[in-house]
Amino acid sequence: MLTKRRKGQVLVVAALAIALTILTTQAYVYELNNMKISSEHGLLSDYILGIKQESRHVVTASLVNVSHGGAASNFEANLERWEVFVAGGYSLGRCDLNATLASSTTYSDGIRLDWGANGSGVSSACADFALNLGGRGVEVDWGFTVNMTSRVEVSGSYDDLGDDSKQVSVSVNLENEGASALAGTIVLEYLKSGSWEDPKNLGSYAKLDSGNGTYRYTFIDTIPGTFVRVRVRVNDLRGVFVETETSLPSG
Amino acid sequence: MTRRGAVHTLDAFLAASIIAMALLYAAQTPRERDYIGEETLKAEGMQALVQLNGNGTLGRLVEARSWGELEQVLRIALPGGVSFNLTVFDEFGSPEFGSPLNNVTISNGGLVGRTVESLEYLLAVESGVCPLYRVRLQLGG
Repeated sequence: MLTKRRKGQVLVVAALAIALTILTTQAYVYELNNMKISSEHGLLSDYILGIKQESRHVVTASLVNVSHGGAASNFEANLERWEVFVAGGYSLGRCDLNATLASSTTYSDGIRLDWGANGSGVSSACADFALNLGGRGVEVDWGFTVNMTSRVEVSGSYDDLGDDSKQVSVSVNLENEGASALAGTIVLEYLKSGSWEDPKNLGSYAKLDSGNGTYRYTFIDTIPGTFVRVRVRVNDLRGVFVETETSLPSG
Repeated sequence: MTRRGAVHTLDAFLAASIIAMALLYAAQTPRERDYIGEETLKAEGMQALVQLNGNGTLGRLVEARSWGELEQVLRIALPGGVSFNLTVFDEFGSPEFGSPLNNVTISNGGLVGRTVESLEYLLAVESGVCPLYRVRLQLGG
């Protein structure tokens, strides 16, 4: 009697064990699927991040071109090439990228070259992007703005040493997108008797690279006048060109 | 005897109900085939390429046709145990049409592994003419 009753209990316990095994297996498979979804999400995120990153490179390349004398229309042409390239490069569905050139009082056709005579020079390119991805259960609509700006600031003064002899101190500060940036090349010149001179030819010339985008120069020369006109031409590490001029007062 | 028979029937019914409920619940859970290894491989490859070109390194190496250096950089960027083969096409080339730009194999010894996956990365180089490249990365692991 007791044995037969236990048989019934064993049957129920066995059933519970089987059910538990089924549910555990199912939970494991479900967890794997979650990881797969997470992985696909990561892949898509990286793809979109890649599109944004390369869009920045397209804008920078265009700024390099235009700042070195290329036509401003090259910017739009490069963006159109990029749009076509992106549309043909997505194999999992539809990928539309549309770029709109920034247009405002400071930008013309997405470009701003403001190489002023007040000690501040700006080379900038700006565009708005709209990315639309579709297919395989994915729908992404995303907009972002890319603004690549190289800015150079020049300041300084001179000490009058008598008889038009002046000790000139110049400070050059370079920024990329508002953050201090290193220069690839810097050409500093000063105006003397109507022609631009290279201070490197002077024995008194000294340069201090602070390593943080700030460069300081000193030199001594005979320069007539009550101020010293200096010009700085910079290529940043990306190759973007920017220049500015300013008049240095007596310190 | 009759009561014992009824108890046995109830036991069997209870056991069958438990299994049936477990099966019913399991059937309701969404199921998909497991491609986890492949997807992870792809994701790792895409992540490596995005990071490599964050500062334009990948573009500069491709533009300079520095295939040996590119291979070294990929060896560092990709996880150990993953084999790779990289091919580079210009703006108008593709894996289907046209031959790759790289005249040497950019690989860490050929594709080996249980799964082989392929992904494409679109590359823009920060130089004056804005060259565009299509990079195909095949991964085995």
